Amino acid sequence: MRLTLEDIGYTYGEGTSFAVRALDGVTLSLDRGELVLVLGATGSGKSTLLRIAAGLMPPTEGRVAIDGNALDASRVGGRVGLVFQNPQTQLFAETVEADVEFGPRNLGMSEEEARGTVREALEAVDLDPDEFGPRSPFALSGGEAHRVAIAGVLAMRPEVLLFDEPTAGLDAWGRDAVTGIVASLRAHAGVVVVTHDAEGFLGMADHIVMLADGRPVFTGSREELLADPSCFEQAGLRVPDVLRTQILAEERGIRLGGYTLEVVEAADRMARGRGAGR
Amino acid sequence: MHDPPRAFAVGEDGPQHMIEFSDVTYVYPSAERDVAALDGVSFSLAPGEHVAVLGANGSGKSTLVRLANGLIRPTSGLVTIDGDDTRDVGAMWDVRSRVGVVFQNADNQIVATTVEEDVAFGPENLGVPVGEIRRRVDDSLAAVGLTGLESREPHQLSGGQKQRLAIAGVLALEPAYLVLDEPTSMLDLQGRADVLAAVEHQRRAGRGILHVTHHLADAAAADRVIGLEAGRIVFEGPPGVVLADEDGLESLGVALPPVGRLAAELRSRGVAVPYEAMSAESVAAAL
Ligand SMILES: Nc1ncnc2c1ncn2[C@@H]1O[C@H](COP(=O)(O)OP(=O)(O)OP(=O)(O)O)[C@@H](O)[C@H]1O
Ligand SMILES: Nc1ncnc2c1ncn2[C@@H]1O[C@H](COP(=O)(O)OP(=O)(O)OP(=O)(O)O)[C@@H](O)[C@H]1O
Ligand SMILES: [Mg+2]
Ligand SMILES: [Mg+2]
Repeated sequence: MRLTLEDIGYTYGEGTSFAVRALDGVTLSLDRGELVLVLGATGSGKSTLLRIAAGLMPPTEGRVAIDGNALDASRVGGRVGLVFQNPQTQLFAETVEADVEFGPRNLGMSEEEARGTVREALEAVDLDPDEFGPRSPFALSGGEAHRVAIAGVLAMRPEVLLFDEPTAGLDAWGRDAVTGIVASLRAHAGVVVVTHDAEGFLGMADHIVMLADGRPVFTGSREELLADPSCFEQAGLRVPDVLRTQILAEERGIRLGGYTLEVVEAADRMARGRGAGR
Repeated sequence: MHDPPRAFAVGEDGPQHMIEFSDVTYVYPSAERDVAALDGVSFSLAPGEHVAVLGANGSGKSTLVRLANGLIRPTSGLVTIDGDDTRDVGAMWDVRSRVGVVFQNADNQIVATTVEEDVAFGPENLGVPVGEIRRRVDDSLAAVGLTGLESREPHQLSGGQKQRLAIAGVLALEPAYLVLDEPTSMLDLQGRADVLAAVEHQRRAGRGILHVTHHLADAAAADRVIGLEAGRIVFEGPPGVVLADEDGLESLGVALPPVGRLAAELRSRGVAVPYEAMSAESVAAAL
């Protein structure tokens, strides 16, 4: 399974006086087992890109394909799952259980298997299925509703998962659960994560795409990103704190011998560099 | 017609200028389970004070926010705004104009068909003069970085842009108190820093700020932190005390951000990094 987006362009309201160019020349490919991280400032085109990758709208320019075949939303059939940035809009059923069950049942899963899948999916997002299953999805807290929306997509067991700000509004344990889910999904699926929490996901990303005003200002591996963190600034983003601390340390004359995303490793290098410098 | 809203700085009622929760319990009427979303909560927020509210998902933070502007009324106990009981229907208008709320879901807050009309809506309802509305709209949009998008339709905005719009709408009300329910959950680091700066500006102008957040760095910027667990206040005190209490943090569903963990690792290697250091600058400065 391979999802490819080639030279994607997108203009909202094309041909009108209020046209907005949201994407321009974005190329991305995702294989099973890979995690692609999409970073970018407010309004840079990240959600637009995910909607196109999910087949919810065709690009104005370029091509989206699965295994070389043009993506056709009517035939995607649960192979690509998207968790929306505002996941509340994704909930619709009378109970949490019915909501999460809808996708897998719709894909032809037996009632019994679906029931097991629902429990598994709710447990994965740290919601007790017995407590939350019978409740209305519209009488939940923001973070609880977000977890249900994630569970609903997980239950379909898609081959490609697209997450738009999956940790927004979650407490620390919810964020841990989500990074755990993303890590374990990579065993059998391809995952794209759009996030403002770069530090939460950079450590496991295979590829990073950084958008600025719809254009890719960086595409490459984690190592390439670490070699030149200035692309964060080109994308109008602040360099994540742990990386930024290392840059500031070097500016203070502390030699680190390269940047790392690992907190312990960074501390070792700083302590060592500091000792050597004095 | 309604009485015009009182300015926040006028102290004609004596010592009562604050948002005050007294032994407040709230049970959602729809809840099959007879579980209180808030249970015996008492605290107050004074003008010029910045209070952060921490707590895990489902701990009752948004319930507290809805109670603070009278959107819902306590099942038992009392919520007063500058002495006015939020159960008092006659005071409702006054309460809503003095407590500006940015709700957790920005979509639910959008009322007009263009960005500038949306921001103007609140002040128009308060009967603010036209020229003054223009100034407020321009200033508020500038404060959240939306200048240039005035004539956009709100539903055509990105997630982060909508959140900024919701904040601008409340700034334009110039309320006595700002109650912000995870106002930066969709923003990048720079956006979060910009909003924190705008909040600090409001505080210095004498407004009371109640800021619900899952981020310790936000709590570090407050004067006082309230910690909720399963509907009860389990912590209240200065941020320095919360930041140093690891078990306490765990029960509030907050974790040290990576830069805080880096600071801790450096401390264990003999570098004197202060506990309040929650930014790259402050950690690097200790090296
Ligand atoms: N409309 C409702 N009807 C019934 N119960 C509700 C309703 N809204 C919230 N609850 C429940 O009340 C409790 C408190 O919810 P609240 O929204 O205040 O939590 P919160 O602290 O804001 O959480 P989050 O961080 O997820 O936004 C939760 O157990 C939630 O499930
Ligand atoms: N329906 C729409 N009509 C017109 N313009 C739109 C529409 N949706 C989004 N836009 C614009 O397209 C651009 C990209 O929006 P998008 O939602 O993809 O951004 P984003 O990177 O996801 O931002 P955020 O981090 O704030 O969620 C923005 O300038 C936005 O205002
Ligand atoms: Mg978005
Ligand atoms: Mg909430």
